[in-house]
Amino acid sequence: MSKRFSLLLVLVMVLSLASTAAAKTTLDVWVAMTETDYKPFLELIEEYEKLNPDVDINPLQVTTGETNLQKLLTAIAGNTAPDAMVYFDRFNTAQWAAQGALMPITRFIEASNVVDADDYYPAAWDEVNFKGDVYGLPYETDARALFYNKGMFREAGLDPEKPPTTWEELDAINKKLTKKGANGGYDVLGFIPWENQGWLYTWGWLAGGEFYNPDTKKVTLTDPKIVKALQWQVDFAKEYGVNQVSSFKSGFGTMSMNPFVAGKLAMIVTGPWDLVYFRQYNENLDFGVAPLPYPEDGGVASTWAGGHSNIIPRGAKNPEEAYKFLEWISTGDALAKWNYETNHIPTIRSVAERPEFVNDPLMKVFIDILPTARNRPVIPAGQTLWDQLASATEKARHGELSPEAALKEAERRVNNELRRMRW
Amino acid sequence: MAMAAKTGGTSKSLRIRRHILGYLFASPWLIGLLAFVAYPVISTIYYSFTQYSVLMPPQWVGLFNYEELFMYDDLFWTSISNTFYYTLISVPLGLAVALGLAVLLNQKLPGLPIFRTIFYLPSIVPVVGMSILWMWLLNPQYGLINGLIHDIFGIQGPGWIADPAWSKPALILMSLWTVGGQMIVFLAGLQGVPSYLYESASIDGASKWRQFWQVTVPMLTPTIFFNLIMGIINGMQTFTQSFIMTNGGPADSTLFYVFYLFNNAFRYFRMGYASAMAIILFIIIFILTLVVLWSSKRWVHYETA
Amino acid sequence: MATPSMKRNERITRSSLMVVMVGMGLAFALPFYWLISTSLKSDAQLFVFPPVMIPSPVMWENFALAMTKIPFLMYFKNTMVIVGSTVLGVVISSSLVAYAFARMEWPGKNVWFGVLLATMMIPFPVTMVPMYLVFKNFGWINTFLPLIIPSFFGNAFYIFLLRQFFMTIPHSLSDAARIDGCSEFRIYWNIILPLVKPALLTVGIFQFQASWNDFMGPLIYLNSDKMYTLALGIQQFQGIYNSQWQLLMAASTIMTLPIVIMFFVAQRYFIQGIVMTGIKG
Repeated sequence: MSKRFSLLLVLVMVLSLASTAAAKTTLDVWVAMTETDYKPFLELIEEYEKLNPDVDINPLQVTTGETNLQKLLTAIAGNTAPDAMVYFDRFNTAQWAAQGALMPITRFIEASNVVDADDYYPAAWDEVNFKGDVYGLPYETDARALFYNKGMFREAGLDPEKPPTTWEELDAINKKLTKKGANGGYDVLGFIPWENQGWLYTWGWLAGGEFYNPDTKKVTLTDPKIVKALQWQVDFAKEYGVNQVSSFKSGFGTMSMNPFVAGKLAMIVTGPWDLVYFRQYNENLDFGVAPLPYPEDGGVASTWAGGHSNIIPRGAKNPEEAYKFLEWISTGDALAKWNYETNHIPTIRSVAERPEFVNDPLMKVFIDILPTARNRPVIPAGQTLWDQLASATEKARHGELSPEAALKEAERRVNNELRRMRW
Repeated sequence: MAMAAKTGGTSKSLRIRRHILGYLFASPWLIGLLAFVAYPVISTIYYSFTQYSVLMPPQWVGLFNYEELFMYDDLFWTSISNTFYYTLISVPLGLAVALGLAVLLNQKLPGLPIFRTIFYLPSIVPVVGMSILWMWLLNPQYGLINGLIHDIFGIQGPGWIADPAWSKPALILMSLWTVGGQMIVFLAGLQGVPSYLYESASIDGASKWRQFWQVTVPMLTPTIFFNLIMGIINGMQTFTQSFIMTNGGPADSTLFYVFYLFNNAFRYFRMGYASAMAIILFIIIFILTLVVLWSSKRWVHYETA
Repeated sequence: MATPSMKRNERITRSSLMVVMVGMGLAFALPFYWLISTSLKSDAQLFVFPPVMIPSPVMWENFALAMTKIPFLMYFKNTMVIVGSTVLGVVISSSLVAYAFARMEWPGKNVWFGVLLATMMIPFPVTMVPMYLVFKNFGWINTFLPLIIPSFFGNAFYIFLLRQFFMTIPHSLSDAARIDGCSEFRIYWNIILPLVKPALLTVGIFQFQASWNDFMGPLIYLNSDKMYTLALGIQQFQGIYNSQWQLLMAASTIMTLPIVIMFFVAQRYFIQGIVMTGIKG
């Protein structure tokens, strides 16, 4: 009896040992992707699970909206954060890292023979670094360029192979492309500076402006070049009527009703993700992509690059395994596959320059301009800066404040916040 | 009351038993208050004196947040004026519309169930769905509202939520569509008005209009009181519309108080600052409510039989 | 008693009231019409001026598409579990507490009533995080409990609402019962509650609605998409399909429909309740 019992005990012990040895690590991963981006990602998860039978990935799709940042924030505060968050808006990194919300992954990277800082586009790598530590693996990047409708150029008697290269040309071409409708509104506009990706960041850098001074650690929104970029928008708003343009804009939709696809706008500032989109919804759309125009006087060829990264929140239960997973999806073939299928640009230059990306002549325009790309200032008040720029732009456009006054107000508020943070 | 005092003139132990019974009846809420409300509220008060990002331990800063709000933060004042604008117009207007609809529904007119449903339905549409619907209704170019304005008046309608001058009126218009909840409360109140009061009024020869002012309104004052207080509390805390529809814009024209508070708490990681804002808002609403409560002695009539 | 001229006046009043009612009805129904007609349009018909009133062709596919994108049945089941429990919870607990506030004498009552009103004046975003920590300490994260249990401890808004109704009932009723030796609970349960059925139903409807539409709570407390509710599902859907108006409208319609049906069903009892209380003043 007792012998049998001890035998049983041994058996149980062996079994339980075996089961712990084979026990899978389950990684809770939140993925902030849209439907089309999520599908190829799920395929990669399956692949990873096949390669690593001891790991079980438990993904939760959360939307790209800000409500999910709040969900993440609450979870981190409650120490119930997931093991990893995929597709975290990279420009938030500094702000979140400053609050200790993210786990530094520097030690993993130092031990890794796969990830090397020098492989990345500087704009992408810069954004995941904060006070000497790395807080995420850049996953995708983009760049902004001018898409222009060649057919509409021809109709207006313009050379379809000569997109505007300066703001002055852009303004002149715009007049030729614009058509007024019967009810006083616009039927067609050549271009709207603040449509789609036409943020003040984009235009400010093109005008040669700097939004932040790393030496004084203050934002410099009243840089005359930035004022000039905003003044240019205000002049446009005055000439074309800010409310008429708003009314015209409110008719924009998506898919076949996208203003560029539907031929309502002849030129638009957007990123590589729209390449396939435009082709999909109008096969006959004859369009070109060109680097963004800049002002004749003092302008600088540049673009704005943003994107997402994959991070490990503070309090993650399995940081080692999570990093291994993130490293696998964020490098090499997996990185190439996801970015290719979703029309994003890999953040690692050698991957972005693989044939499948550069063989597409339009995609190549983006990849060619990426080395000149700029990224938003890496400061702990990035969100305030963003909101303040948006509000200042609106106020100036609606004539509530002059460009200088609006930017001055925004600058004061952001620097106030930085001072409060003892930045 | 008078009766209770008479019957209650018995022994002391009976009175104590009734006091205990009162607490017993109220105990679910009292326990809930301790379990779910006390801690969050007390921590809000504490955080308002700290610099606290949710993610890092709070640091005591005394009155710094309050000083900052009153002295240096002009957006705080923008949000206060936006919120008062919205509340002062939408609450009385909403009460009037809700009361009007309830009175209409209380008449013996044909098709009542249908109208009752039509008037109430908007307030049950999920907020997310409703905001999306109204963004589309208010679309300056292709929306139904500007379409009708064009058809009826032959003019181009305003830019609504795209125009800083029209964004608040647009949200007020939208709020009028969802007065169904208040209307139901009024309706339930109207059904409590004893019919003999109307009968005796009409025997006295009072017109419908006079009956409305002399019977209906006085008898409805408890529900008007309720709807007014709830209207103020909710109006001052308006949030979802600007969160989903306008993001506080254009040009800060729909930056409401709680929206700005939310931004501070969750987007700028300034929970301590947001807590101070919460305390200030609490005080504002509390004062407004006290004024209404204090004035209610003059105009609210409870059953005193 | 009624003279012919009074009768004519009455008719004029009634028909002008009817005109007002129909006018208001149209104004309130129009957005719904717009909701449904948009949900059935093709995207080419969305952006047309003047707006197209009747969709052609009728795109039922929009609904099919929205339904397949959201696991409707699963979310519906989750939602109903939460909604059902909270409706039960608030009706029982709030009426009990409201009774104490309206019809019982106990020391500190007015102060507590002030506290009750005050709890509604604290903006929810600031209490969100401490609330989360409370529920986390209870071990309730990723369960329905944070969304259900608090409703069994009364809700300030409903307590206030029911208090207002309880106070309109003559005291003579309960005093008579008390003289007959009824316990306080029996007075509450057998005499007063039946009299405020419309108000209880109102509370039930309000809670159904609030719980049905809540997306912040589920968003923060639920970390598994198998537990998602419809409101959260729609909110996520909006994030994924923004500005595909027809799909968003279809999803909104799907989400609104059950609550409309619920209202139609409840309305019957609602009317019964009205009749019951309306007999005697």
